[in-house]
Amino acid sequence: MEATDPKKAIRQFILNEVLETPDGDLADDASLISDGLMNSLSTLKLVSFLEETFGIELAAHEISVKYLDSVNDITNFVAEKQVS
Amino acid sequence: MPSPARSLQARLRDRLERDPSGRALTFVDGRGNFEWIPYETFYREAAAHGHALSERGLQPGDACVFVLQSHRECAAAVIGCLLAGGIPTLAAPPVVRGLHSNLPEVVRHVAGRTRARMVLLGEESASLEPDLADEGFSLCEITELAGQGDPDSLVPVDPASEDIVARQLTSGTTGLPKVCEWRQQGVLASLDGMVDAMDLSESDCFANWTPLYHDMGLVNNFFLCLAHGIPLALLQASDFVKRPSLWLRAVHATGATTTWSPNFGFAMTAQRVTDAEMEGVTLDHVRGFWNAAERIHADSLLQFRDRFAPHGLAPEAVKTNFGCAENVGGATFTSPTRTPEIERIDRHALHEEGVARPVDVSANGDSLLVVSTGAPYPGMTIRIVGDDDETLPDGHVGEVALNTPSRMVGYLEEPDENAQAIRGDELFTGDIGYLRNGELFWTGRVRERINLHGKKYDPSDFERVLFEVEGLREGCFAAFGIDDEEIGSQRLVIVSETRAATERPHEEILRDIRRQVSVQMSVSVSEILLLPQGAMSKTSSGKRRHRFYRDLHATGQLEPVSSWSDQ
Repeated sequence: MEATDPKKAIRQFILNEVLETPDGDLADDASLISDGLMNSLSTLKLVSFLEETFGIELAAHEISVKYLDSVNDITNFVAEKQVS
Repeated sequence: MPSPARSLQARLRDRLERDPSGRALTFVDGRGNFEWIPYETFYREAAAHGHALSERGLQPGDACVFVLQSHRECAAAVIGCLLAGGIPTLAAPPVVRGLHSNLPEVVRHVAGRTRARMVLLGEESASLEPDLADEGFSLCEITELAGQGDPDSLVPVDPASEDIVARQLTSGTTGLPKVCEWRQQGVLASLDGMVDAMDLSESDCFANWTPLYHDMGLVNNFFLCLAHGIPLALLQASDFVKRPSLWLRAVHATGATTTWSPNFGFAMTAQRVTDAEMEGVTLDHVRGFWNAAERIHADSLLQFRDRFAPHGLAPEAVKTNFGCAENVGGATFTSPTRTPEIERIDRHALHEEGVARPVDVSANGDSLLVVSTGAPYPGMTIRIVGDDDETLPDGHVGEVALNTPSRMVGYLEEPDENAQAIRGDELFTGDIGYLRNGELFWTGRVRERINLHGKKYDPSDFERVLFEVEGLREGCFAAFGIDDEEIGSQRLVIVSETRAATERPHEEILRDIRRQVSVQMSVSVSEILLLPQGAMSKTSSGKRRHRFYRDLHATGQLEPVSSWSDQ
């Protein structure tokens, strides 16, 4: 895991573990939750990955479309959590 | 062990006298840490919540709706509500904030049906508050109750056995849930039935991650353990889904002998838990890993059993159960000393003749495995009923009817549904199955029902969502679940006609369907097929339509003009 490229790691996790299309394309601004590509179970799986990979902890209110809907949203949110 | 007390509240008080310092509950956090709460401590906490609710106007007999996760405050408030004479109904809060936008409508519907005096919200459901103001019930934030009540000032209630004790939501047929109403005597019969059938005693210990708003979490775990002196370790469902190993680590650490999960939890745990996570975990003390609340897949059972055998899991500890909210809790149970029977039966004979004919393994392609859900608890009888209300013999498939002491009173304000479900002394479950040697084998549903990770949906739940999608013909749709062995649950398929006159691109319609279902219901669609206008109007309507299209889909006979799949 390259700590210097969290966006790549996040995108690859979603492709591998959520969408199960490791070689697929995923636009960084694609709406994952609100377009129904991720359900509540896969969102929680993603949260577990983010917590373990980036050493952060998400509060219940942060498991939200607002923060986790796209690769861009997730990357920005992780960066903010790591700073705070 | 069963107490003769005539109400749940009386049993809770009896335990206080008998076992004040015994372990009652613990709440296992996401890291696996926990601390047991003595029964007297929890009881007084609950009584304080009950008094605080009374001070806010809750009277005996008043309904109270909880939209909360299964944390300590929720547990105390639910028992507090009961101790104050209130009647709780629990609804699921959103897991992912920003989804489940139809929840305010669900809560308004439930509060209206139950004539609720108040609705309790927490941080997890606070976003509902603006949508629920001025609705004829009071809104209460759970944290506002903390430290507000005096446990010694709570006036104890003494309900009669025919009084209503609680209500439970179950999938409806109008896009909104039905509300099952339970009497004291029904709930107590259910608890006593489980104690007998599962051979429970106060030396048992439960661990549970199914939420309190699910009847399996509420009755089979929470009420059962509190009323019968069995320690209960509660985990949050979201923590389990994030790290399924937490479940097994908690079972190990708490010494739990009994635990429950829907089938998908067994599949997920067997697939995701690593050897490193299982280091030091032993399961040889467990008497029952109970698989219930959705279709039980033989593969999931066997995979789970084999995966954790090296950690001491005994083959006979993997159990099965059939139950429903209409029966309050569990109805049939694997014998305490045996493994569940698994039959390989002829697929053609099942579908064409309604007969479960055992075949040997050589009939692989034309056969299917069906798992026994065990025998009814003592005092209950099962009848398999044919189309003409005749009683069918062993091995013949029909509707499962229960003559049960734990039957619900009925659904609130649903006369047609009640007439269908309660006929004479019997509860018609809407489930299809057969009996063999006194054990029930479940094979399907009379009316299509979709089961997504333990949560049940009626196809009609999706109708009002599809109304929102421009370009679809209203009412011309089918929704059904298809079994997925890998995830151990079902995937949702939606088939809909498009309007001939629409100029909206199909890609946009497909995306809009996914979006509306996700945002409004917090559910993912796995496959969508759009058919041309008129394609569905030629087929039968109502409950048969969904099954009809499920069969066409299974045999590859649908010819969509456009489609989308997550596979």
